[in-house]
Amino acid sequence: MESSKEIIKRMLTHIAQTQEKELDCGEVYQVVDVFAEAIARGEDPTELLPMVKHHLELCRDCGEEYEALLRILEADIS
Amino acid sequence: MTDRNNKQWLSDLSEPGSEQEIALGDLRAIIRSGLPFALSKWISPSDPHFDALAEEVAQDTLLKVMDKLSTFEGRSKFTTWVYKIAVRVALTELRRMRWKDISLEELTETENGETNLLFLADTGVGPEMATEQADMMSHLRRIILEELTDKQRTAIVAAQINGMPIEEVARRMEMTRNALYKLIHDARLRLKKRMAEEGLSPEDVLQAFEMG
Repeated sequence: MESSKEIIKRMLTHIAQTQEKELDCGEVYQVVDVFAEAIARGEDPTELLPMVKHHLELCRDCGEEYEALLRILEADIS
Repeated sequence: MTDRNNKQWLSDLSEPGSEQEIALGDLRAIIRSGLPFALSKWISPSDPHFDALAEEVAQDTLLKVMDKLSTFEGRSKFTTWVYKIAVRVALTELRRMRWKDISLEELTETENGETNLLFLADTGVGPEMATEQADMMSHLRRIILEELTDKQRTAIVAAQINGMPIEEVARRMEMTRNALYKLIHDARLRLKKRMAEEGLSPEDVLQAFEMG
């Protein structure tokens, strides 16, 4: 069980990171495969796709999906 | 299994016939081989429910892939694009199962039907809470009550405070995931602006909570 303090700290962190313009989940979904491939190759796609990284940090659903995709790519089975 | 590049995948899958059948079979095997890695934090491959889930996910993914084939732009490997779809299908189902018995009301409302902001009450956090932190909490509580709409409060309390996936919150609020993200984004933005108007930076407030 999370303490009130932890919840408030998470909320404040999210407020601090909030940008006037952010990508929504659909826009991130369009490119998350490209983003994950670049990460798996050891490249840094944040310069090319800076707003994607930002969304993945703020949206837990998208972040979880990205991490699951990355686990497949890093398992190198394809 | 045939090793195909993106073009070959598209060509094999686009026309009905034996090549399409073979490609679909290969794709099903590829999806199945990726799922144990994708879902390792959610469900173990030795779980009795894993096989049925993986088969259902593979089947749903293939249907979606065939439906969206013309939208594949070739910016990633075709199999990565397919994995992306499979992950969305699988996590959507796992989230639905995990949260199926929990209503939005019980998560976000008090007995009186008001938004549950107990995490911002200065009772129950113990005597170790510094006065500065307690003041900050009542301040945040007031800002949330004054700035946010009922819908925004419900979304923030369900998703950010109680950790309900936004997809699940969206389903219960009869919104799309995109629309719900935008609602929460707008709420965060309002809170940030209001805090700025009051001379509070989230970083400073955060620092007050890092101490003690």
